[in-house]
Amino acid sequence: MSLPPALDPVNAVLVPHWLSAGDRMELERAVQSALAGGPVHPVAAVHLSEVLTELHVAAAREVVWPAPTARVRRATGWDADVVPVRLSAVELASVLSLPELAPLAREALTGGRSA
Amino acid sequence: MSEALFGAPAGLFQRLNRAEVRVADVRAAATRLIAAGVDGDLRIDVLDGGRGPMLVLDDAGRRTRVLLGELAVEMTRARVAATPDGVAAALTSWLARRPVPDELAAAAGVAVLDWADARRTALGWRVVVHRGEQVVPWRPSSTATLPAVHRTRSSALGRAATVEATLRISGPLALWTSPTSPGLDSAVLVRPEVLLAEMAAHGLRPRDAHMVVTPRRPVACAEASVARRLGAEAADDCAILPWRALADVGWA
Repeated sequence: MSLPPALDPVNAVLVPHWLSAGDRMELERAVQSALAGGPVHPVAAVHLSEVLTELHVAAAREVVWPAPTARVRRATGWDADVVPVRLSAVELASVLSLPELAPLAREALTGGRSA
Repeated sequence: MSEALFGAPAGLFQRLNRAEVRVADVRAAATRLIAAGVDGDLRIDVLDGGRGPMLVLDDAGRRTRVLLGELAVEMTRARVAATPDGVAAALTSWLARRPVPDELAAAAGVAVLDWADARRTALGWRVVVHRGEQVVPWRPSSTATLPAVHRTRSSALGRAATVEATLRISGPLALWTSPTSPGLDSAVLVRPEVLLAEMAAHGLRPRDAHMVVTPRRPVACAEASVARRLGAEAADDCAILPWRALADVGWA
């Protein structure tokens, strides 16, 4: 059985959310504690683990192609630890549905630099 | 390493500036460069030919001729500032990317992955040498014999295997960077089996390892879905290829 298209992160539209190192750490902590904690719906678990993957991919992008993000940071005046974390709509929704996500990280994902 | 002679055209603001670089500007810059002296075995002359003045380079026996008019047109197209300093800087950067002599490639060439076509769809091995800060590709001269080309390529592959690379693990991804020789990161791909072994030593055993390769940038390896995610939003062109396909990559 093939997965429905919404589960393939490459076919989904990935929207960049510009997160600082603190935001990313909080995002990782919240997702990990949700996955390690109580029962999570299997589909939500897939999306949440994709978010963890994306956090690593975002760090890798900085190593392989640092120039474009550096240009954006120069133009906007954001700090050097701000990098784009690209999430699909379902991944973002699965993160925002976590009740333990700190307000600061929630704000970074929905407003602020991501607005 | 198929690029415009003087880099990509400048931004919109620069395009509004319609200064034209003339042959005389290039000639003056070349004359000053000759007077100032250039490095090593390189000899530069400006000769008057039937089709106009030519810049003639003799780099350790490899001769390159180019019409000054051609350089002027390319500089104008690349929006090089038509000032003595602007033209001199453009000429110096063009000289830094002059063809590599066959002897130099045979003595110091390193094999890296590069784009094999102008549309940047296929990868191939290419012999490159370090020239100052830059990595310059070698294309065999018209006098290079087939056995000599093969010898140069095989010793370049041998040197690529000795390029130092640092492995960094980022979750499900492995990244190789060459800290000592920037631009030669993809040389690590001459020994793909070592890459998998290094990843396994760090507890990373992808079922279906895929490489994300951007010429002259660090190399990433991960499972197919993660590699696609990394490559999907890549700002530069990159190639994603299965680990097994590395064995079949030919020469660019």
